[in-house]
Amino acid sequence: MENIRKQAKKTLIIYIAVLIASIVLWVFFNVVEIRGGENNSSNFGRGFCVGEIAFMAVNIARYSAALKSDEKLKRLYISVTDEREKLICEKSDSSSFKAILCIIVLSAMVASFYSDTVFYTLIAVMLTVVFVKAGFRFYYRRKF
Amino acid sequence: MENFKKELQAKMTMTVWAAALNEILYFAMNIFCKEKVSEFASNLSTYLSIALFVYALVQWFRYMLMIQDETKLEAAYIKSKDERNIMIREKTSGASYMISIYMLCAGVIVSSFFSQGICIAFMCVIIAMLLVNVCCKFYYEKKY
Repeated sequence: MENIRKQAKKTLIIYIAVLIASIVLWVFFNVVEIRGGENNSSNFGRGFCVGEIAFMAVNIARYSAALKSDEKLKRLYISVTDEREKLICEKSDSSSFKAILCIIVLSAMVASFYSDTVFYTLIAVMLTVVFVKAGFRFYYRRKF
Repeated sequence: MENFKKELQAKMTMTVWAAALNEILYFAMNIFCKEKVSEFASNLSTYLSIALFVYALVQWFRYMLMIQDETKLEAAYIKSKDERNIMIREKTSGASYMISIYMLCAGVIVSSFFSQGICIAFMCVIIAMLLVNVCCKFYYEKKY
């Protein structure tokens, strides 16, 4: 149970860090006026920030409640470590990762005929995703 | 071993489909979109298309060789069933998928204040990632 508590505490800290980062970003973008920004999309960005804050707040509430009660902590542990759920999550993440890379490459190819901005954005996303994956692969090869 | 052979055959078919889709899309875009946005983006998309085609071809030949040669098939089977490799592959995909989503969310927020086009492109990638993941989850929920 102590290990579960430690794990939950770590997750809680990550959620709090993301929450603080989102709040800082939201305040920053509300205070600072950026030149060249479009009104619609900046409002969307602010809304997205608020959504992220709400999502993190819900998660923080869930984890803090679990840390206070042993029964809730046990339930959380079971939901997180359920073998079937884990297998489904890992398999679906793995398959969707490959599919999404193909989709991004094909979309980039199509976008190159319409918009430079979208094309470069998709290429940047693809490269980032590939580098992130390579980084994790390197990390896990060392770990296991 | 027979199942593994069938799996390889399915992969071969998928590779052919992916290569064909890529080429059809590329040629269709070249025929229907005569005016290209920029020369550099257009060249890059051509190289991307060629790279994808070559990759698909190499993979197809690899699978073909494996199916024909029993020793290679056995070696590939052992490699594919290796517990450590499977664990690394699935952990890597899972973690990079999550991190990519978070990075894209941050990208949406930041880009929304600078460019609507980039923001929408990021949003589309996130939506595509989530949709593909939901479909995969649905499939694996039924399978396991």
